Amino acid sequence: MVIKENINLSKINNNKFKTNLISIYFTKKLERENATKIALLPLVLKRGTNNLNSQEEINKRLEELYGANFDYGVETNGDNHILKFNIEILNNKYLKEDILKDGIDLLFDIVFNPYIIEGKFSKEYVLQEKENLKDIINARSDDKRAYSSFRCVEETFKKRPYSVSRIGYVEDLNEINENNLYDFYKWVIENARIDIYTSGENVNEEYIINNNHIKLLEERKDNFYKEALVEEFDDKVNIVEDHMEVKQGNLAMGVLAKEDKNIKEGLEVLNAVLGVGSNSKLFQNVREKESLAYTAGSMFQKQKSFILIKAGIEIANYDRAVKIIKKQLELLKEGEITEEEISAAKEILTSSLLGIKDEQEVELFYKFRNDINGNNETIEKRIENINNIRKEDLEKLAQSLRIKTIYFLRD
Amino acid sequence: MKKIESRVLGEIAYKEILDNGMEVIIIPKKDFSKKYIIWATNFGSIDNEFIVPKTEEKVKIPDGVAHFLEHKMFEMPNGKDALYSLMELGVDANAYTTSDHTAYLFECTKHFDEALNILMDYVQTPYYTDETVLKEQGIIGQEIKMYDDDPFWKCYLNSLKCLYVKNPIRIDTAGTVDSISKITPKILYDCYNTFYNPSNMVFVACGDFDKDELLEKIKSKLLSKEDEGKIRRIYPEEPDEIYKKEEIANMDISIPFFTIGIKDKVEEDKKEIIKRHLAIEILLNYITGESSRLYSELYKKSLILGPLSSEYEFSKTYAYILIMGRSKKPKEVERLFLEEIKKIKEEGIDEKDFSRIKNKLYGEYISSYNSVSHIARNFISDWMKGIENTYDYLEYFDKIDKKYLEKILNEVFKEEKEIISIVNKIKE
Repeated sequence: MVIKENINLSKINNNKFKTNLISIYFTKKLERENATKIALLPLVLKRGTNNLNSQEEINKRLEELYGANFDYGVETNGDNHILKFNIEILNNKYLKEDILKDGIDLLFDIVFNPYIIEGKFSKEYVLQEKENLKDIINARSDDKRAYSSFRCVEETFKKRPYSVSRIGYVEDLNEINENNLYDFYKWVIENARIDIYTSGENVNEEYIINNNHIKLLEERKDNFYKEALVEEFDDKVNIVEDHMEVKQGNLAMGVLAKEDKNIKEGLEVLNAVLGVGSNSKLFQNVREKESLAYTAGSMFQKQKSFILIKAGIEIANYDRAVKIIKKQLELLKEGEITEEEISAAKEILTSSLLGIKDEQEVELFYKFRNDINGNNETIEKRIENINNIRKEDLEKLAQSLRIKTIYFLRD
Repeated sequence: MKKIESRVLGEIAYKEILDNGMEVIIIPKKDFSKKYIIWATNFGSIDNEFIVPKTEEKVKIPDGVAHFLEHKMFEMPNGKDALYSLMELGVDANAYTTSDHTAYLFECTKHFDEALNILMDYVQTPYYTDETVLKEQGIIGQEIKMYDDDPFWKCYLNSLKCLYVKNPIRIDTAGTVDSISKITPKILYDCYNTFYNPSNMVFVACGDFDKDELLEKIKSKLLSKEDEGKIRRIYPEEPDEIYKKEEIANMDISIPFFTIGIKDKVEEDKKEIIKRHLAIEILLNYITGESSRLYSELYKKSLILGPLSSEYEFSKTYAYILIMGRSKKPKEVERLFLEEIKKIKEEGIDEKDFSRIKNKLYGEYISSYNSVSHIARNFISDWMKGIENTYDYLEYFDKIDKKYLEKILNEVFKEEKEIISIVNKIKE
């Protein structure tokens, strides 16, 4: 249901979980200038509310509510930046008390009623969380696989919204303070698109609609991308190398593709043939046949029609690995795709779709992504579309594949 | 089938020990699309010395055999790889090796019967040649190197090296590039024949199953195997004392990793161990959890990057606590941690905090039954530890009182049993 323009509420009923889950998402455009502020917000909000002034008090309250789990995150979807906040609460039927309303009130207290001193965030909290965010950003470079993925995307989509770091930038932190962060927070509350979802048995939506903070929200215009931006790329292939003290090399390739609206799920299936699961071309030809890598595969970002190829290889095998990966893309273009590869790709995708309803948060996030992208296809319809893909479709789509970046993290 | 039930959870599990000695555990979960199967053997990285039943030969195997065997299991005599056969069906199949067991598993929403056939076929078909062993040495070599670059893994492994003097838990599950080069097909067959015997194995299934139908399917696919005789494992005598107080490694990272470990004694009584485990979980939350005084202090002083992660791991030959996190000053975290324990021992346990934490764990425990994979893995893990009824955990919450908690606090959380492993930045 629409509460007000760009403030939505959806309820998913199910009886099979022990818990109720309530999620709230804030969506705005990905923008370089405030990416760091967005990433900082949940860290500051979780530090305290006007009712529970400290993290310790919030955590005690969650424990009182039988280990209710409060979670937050920063995501991207296409060219949008998303803040998410969840609370997972034990279903009342396992207890002699009603904790659902308390849980919902707590979630909205954290999100809409942060601890404010003299009209701004706590200076102490903001200072500390800036340090923490700095550590989080630096920690990403400790995870070599995550870092190489990020760098490859950054290089491929240079200067475009999609290249913006979801968790912000260390260099922005200096100029952020409790004043300008609070101003930005207010802007987000008033201008971001808000989507609220509930999952579980007997979740009373009145607890949400009648919550004081929700009632005070006003309608807002579209401040997000309803469709991902179309990108223009030149023919140049970017070769990029970073150096760190590593024993193993991390190779990543940014590959562009062009969607065909008449071949629904086509690129999804093509990507799966290329690099999802142990029957895929990358796994078979880079890992198994050549023993070149322990991990080799690819990921697909639907809104940007972008494929990210990853492989963990011996540094000395760089040239050979690049050659073999390029060969796999050639094979796709030449239509050298077996029925087994297609069948395995379809099975892996459809099995995964069937499992979505077995996890509350996965189900909610799936529904949210559909809603944000204006997509109302059911899981069943998507499965049908996947199963309809033929080899000719894949060969046709493969013609659009273009390597834009070859990134290597080495010693 | 024997039925065990948790009225609180509204869950039932069915157990049966077959004629060949293998135990089957089925936990039906209505309305779930996913089905989760784990078939595991009580053979892990700590089992590197044993007596071959038929020949009475005392054998010591190179480090990493259990893990190597796990990798090779999927290879079939006809050249096909069972993992691919499963994944072709869209089934999410995997395997893992821990210190005390090796497990072969899959999760699926479709093609269950076919997947079950493939699983039961490959696990019962050992096939190793010089050629396939050589190829795997390359792949596992890469895996070992990948973990060598992993600061979290290095920190964890070093903590076990500090805690234990002789127990093979201090050895990396995958072994080393050198140790796996000594593995031969004969070693693999010897281990398979000794340990992959039905009486040493357990089969767990969780999902929307008809239990009787599934039991029949499993029975019909079991190959008749000769009883190889009781497995006699040889474990070194492990002293009570820790090996060394600290270990520091250096890697190219931004913020150091640390693991604080506490060595505990092995509790033989299977009911007592559940109580002990629960008490330690409560204490870990009490001392280091997100509502704790210590956490608040560490956080305010910017001494930690996010919540600490803690666990109590135990099996038949070891029991230890690990507390993991990242900090710019790990030694300072350690100092404050030890100081906090002293304080709590002096002050005693606060009833209100204790009660609240008990509620927290109670709620979390029930919530974990949201996931078929979590349920199955819990049952496997408990079986390996000799715990007969996993639901006992829920029943035993009420048996933990302040007095028992203080007893465990004083008995287990001792400074002389504590160690720290740190992975620091490389010095400039």
